Amino acid sequence: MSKLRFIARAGPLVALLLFGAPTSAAVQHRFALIAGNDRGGADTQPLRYAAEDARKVHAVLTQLGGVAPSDAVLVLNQPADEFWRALGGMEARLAEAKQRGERTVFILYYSGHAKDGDLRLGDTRIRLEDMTARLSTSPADIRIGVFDSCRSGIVNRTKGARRAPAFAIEAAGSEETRGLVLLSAASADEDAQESDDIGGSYFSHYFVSGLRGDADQSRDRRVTLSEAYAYAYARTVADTAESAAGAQHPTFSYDLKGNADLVLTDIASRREGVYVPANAPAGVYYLVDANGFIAAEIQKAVDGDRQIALPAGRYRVRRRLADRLRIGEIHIASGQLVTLDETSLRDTAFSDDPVKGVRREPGAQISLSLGGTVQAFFDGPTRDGLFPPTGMVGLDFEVRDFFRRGWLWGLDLASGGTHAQLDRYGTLLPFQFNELTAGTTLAAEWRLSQGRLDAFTGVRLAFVLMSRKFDDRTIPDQFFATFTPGLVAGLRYHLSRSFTLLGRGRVHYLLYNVDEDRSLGYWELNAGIAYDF
Amino acid sequence: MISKSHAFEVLSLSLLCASGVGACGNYSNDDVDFELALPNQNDIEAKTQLTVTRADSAEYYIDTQSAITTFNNMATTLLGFIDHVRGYPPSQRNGNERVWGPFPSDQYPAWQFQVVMDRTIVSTSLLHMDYHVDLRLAGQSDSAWVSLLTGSYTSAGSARVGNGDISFLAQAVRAAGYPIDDDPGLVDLDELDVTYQNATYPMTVTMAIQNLPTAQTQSGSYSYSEQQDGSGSMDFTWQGTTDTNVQGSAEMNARWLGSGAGRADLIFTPSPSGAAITLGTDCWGVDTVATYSYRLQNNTTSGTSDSCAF
Repeated sequence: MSKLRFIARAGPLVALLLFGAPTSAAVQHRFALIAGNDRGGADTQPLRYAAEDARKVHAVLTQLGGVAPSDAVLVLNQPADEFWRALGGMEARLAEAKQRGERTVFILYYSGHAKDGDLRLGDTRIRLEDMTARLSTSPADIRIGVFDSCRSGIVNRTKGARRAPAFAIEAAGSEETRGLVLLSAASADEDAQESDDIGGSYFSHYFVSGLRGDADQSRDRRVTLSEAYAYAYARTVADTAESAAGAQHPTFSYDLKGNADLVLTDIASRREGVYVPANAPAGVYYLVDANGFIAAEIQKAVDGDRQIALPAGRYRVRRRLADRLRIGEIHIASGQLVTLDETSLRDTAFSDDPVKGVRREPGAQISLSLGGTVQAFFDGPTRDGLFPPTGMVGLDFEVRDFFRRGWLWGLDLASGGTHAQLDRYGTLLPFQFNELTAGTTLAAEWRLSQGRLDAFTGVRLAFVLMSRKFDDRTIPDQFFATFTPGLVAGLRYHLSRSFTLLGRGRVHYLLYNVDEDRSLGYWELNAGIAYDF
Repeated sequence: MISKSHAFEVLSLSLLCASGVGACGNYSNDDVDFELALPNQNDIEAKTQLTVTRADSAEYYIDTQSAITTFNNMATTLLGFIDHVRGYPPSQRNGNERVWGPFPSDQYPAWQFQVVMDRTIVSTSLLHMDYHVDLRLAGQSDSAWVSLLTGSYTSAGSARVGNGDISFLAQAVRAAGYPIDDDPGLVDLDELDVTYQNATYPMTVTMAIQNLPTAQTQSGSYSYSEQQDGSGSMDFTWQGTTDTNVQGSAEMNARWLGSGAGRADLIFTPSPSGAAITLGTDCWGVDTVATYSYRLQNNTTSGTSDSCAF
């Protein structure tokens, strides 16, 4: 018999007391369909993090959630027919697994716009009730639907859903758990909110952070669905309480029968992350990634330890006290669990908050810069006798966070020249060398040093037109034009909100094919000042 | 400065061709070698101090001036055939060979011409070039090319200076049907051979003219040399039949100082054998007026031979 129980306004601890033995993730065959769409059609503003949230959920489920990468499908910014096609394929695989006698779990996650009972996937729509009906009839033993979108609580309305801090699944004898669980990021009349500080929606951020280990209230190194929801609920409500849009309340409903709660992630299975020992001071620890966003939060209790699974990389650690910050840095090597030594953190003022820094305004950022470039070929004879080192001045137009947050797309135009001479068998021939370049760059960038400094690296394609005019007018003018691919890396230092100093280096490949085919390379150093609109 | 229209033209062309084939242009150090190897007017013309002419200038001074003018006109004519190369990028680049053309002839559109140059890099400081200007009727195969002009050049210490030779093969193209005789000055010409060297002083240029057997003047030659101080010489010789129907060669040997003062002797040598006879001598000063003059025909002498620069 199916049972629905909710515990309104009760603490997670109460829920834990009611849990049965969690079901191990290892004995189930898990599948996941994760969809994110930043755009919701003509009457909506684009979201900034819906696709990014989907990527994070995909990452945590494949890293910690027992979902093999081959069993996880990520659908980003695709219309409804693509989504249905992916869901159909997933259902076919679930049916095959069931035929093989496997117990199956199917997790469906959606992040994006929703309005008037529809999920909005670009200009296309999916009725929420169609979605839940399809999920209800899925061949999986356990179906979990997570909807992070405005008014997504409507999925639970017909199920008698509650917006509550936690829920408990009643044990029912020895029967294997089967059924449906639906989670929504907001109630049926609320907006789901995003945050530039955390680089995502509140609910998905805390859902993922909880799955990485911070929701592990039972300290058994496993995070159950109930724990993850309880954690995400509490943090979402707390963080949005003071927002202009008002508090956001996640909701849940479930229709399950069986004997156990569902373990979603197994932290112990991946010894790669951060361990906060029991003797560390209590409080909230933030782990800030290279982009300046909070990758995970750790709610450290008195005398309790904490373990968070995180991918390898460098993270800044922030702990906020009443009068100051404690900050430091950790490096998680591949396969390494790093113990956080709080005494290694240093005191600093609130103004040095690594999360704050120089904030980017929402949406695409446009800048225009004026700068100078020095260019030279690597090959000595080429440099001395064919294309001399030259200086150029030019303009750069850049758009950041347009295609994707953290991405930079730029157009540049530069021109310059120099006077040089060519030595042919002892005859010195002076000439005027001129160059015109136009390039386009696509790069990824990271915030460094409390956000005042950005580093970026990417690829560039340039059109190069080089010409020379000999002082000896009996020799005809010469030119060479080609497209050259290259790599670019650089730093951007924010002087103020509007002005930025730029420095970058480029390395390019150039195929010269007039006298003979020759593969050449050249470097460029560029410095300039940018105005950020 | 490059004009705006030219710059726009180059930019448009380069964008188009770079978009189509990835890279394009005529930016080439090797092309410069070929350009440098072509003789220019300065290489094969006679540069003399004999530029002043007065009504009372010495007769042989004026004859020498006239010979130099003829000499330079022939050089200009020759260079006209290779000026299609100068200033233009080659149509084909094949390793050490460059080809310009085929182009239609401006004067005779039924005919095409091409210029082919071959480079031999003798050493890092020594370059040798062979080139030829060819003609054919439009539509004919490659084997129909006939050389109108052949030449070679070897650098000496610099790509710009060295030794060269050019042959103008009038009879060869005449035989191929090219209407070369439309130019009255070339009606009697069989072949013209030019050699020059401009690496060291004295710089020299020689021209050897071979006319057709039917011509009154069978052959002739010019030999010009130039010293750094402006002094020089021009010897020109003609073999043929005189108006009095005597076979022989007439030779004018002229030489001058950097100041312009000089001397010319006219010598006739009967053929097939005979002693050379000095027909006359003129010496002139810096003002080109004769300071000494001798004529065998009238057995007259004016001035004193002590006044002669040579």
